[in-house]
Amino acid sequence: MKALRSLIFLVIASLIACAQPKDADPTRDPAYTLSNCEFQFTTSNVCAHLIWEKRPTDQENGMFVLEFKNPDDGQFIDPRDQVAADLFMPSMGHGSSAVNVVKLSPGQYRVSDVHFIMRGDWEIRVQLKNGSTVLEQATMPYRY
Amino acid sequence: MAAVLPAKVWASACCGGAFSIPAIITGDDAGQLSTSFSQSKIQADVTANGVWLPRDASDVSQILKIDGAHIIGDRFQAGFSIPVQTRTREGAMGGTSSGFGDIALQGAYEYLPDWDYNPYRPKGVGFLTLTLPTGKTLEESLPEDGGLSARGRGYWAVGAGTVLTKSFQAWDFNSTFEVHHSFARTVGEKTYTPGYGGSFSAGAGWNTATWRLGGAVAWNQEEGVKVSGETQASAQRYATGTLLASYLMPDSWTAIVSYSDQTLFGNPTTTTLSKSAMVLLQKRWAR
Repeated sequence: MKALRSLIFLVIASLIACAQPKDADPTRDPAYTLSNCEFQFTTSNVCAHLIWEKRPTDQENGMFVLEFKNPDDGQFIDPRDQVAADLFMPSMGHGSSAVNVVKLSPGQYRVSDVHFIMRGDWEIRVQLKNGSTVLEQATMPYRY
Repeated sequence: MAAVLPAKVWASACCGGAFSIPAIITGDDAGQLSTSFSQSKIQADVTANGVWLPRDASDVSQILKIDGAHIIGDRFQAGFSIPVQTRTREGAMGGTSSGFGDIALQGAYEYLPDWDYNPYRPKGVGFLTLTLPTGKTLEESLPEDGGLSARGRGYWAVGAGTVLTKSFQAWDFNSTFEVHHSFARTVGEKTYTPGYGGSFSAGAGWNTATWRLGGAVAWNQEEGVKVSGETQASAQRYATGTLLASYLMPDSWTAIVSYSDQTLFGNPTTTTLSKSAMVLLQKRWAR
């Protein structure tokens, strides 16, 4: 009887220890809020986070993934508007070659053909657009 | 020999050609025609706060240039400069592109003649320049090839300046000062407003009957380009040091070889620094 009670206790304990909420996102950063996200779109109430898949070099173009999340609950969210990105060098007043933006899944976009035409201080700019009209833009500095 | 001043075109920054001053007759000739070939390689990019970032991939420009000048009357002269540029870049957006750079026209007036060979007063030639945006701009070339085919600054520009020369025994001295204004241009939905720029150079040479060995340093400054809807770009500044050797051949032919280096002088900002070599052949016609 004592052994049976120990077995039941162990089974219950192991079940509790292994339990995880099914809606948990393993990639979610718990500190990811509207106030500290990398690309902050206040009007749309969306945060975007940049994850490099391959940083650009002089020899190879780079590639990164943009993750758009709802700052209230940290869940992936698709912006209402079209997602675009470009590279700009404020000190020189010029951009770089065009990047390619492809939607991977809801809230996730891959930006490829990332190429900086010279070394220096650049901005990676992410825009929410309606056609050719930029509705909202957020930037992140990048030293190449 | 002091009369032989090759046309000046300071190496490009990030994006195609820079402001160009055609050759000016500073001697007693009626006309001159020069053809030059230069090759430059970008060494580093410099940020707005002066940090040098060396380039990993090769970025080489070759410029074949024809420039000439001829007197119009006694003290007036007119000239031109036509560059053809080939740029070869290695790396992710590598390739080769060729075509015209920005063509420049010039008029000049000898406002300070040296008819009496005054021992102190220099000879002075003032000039006006007009730059035509015949080279493709960076903004135009970015969507096509990441800027590879940018061979011009891309703005109409007017400039004014002066060249002062003086010989003293076997030595000669020269100095050029110019200011220019580049006009705004709209490409796509953006308007680019470049503003003012200027340069100052000082040089000296030592002469024999047929040889001249010389050097010069030129300082350049350009206002940052204002782009509609963007924060203003930072001012561009760089200095170019040049060593050159000239050889005077029979029948008023002159050959010049030179080496220029933008990594030696000044406190560059917001620019690209290059090293370049040039050979030039010039024919002059006496009055």
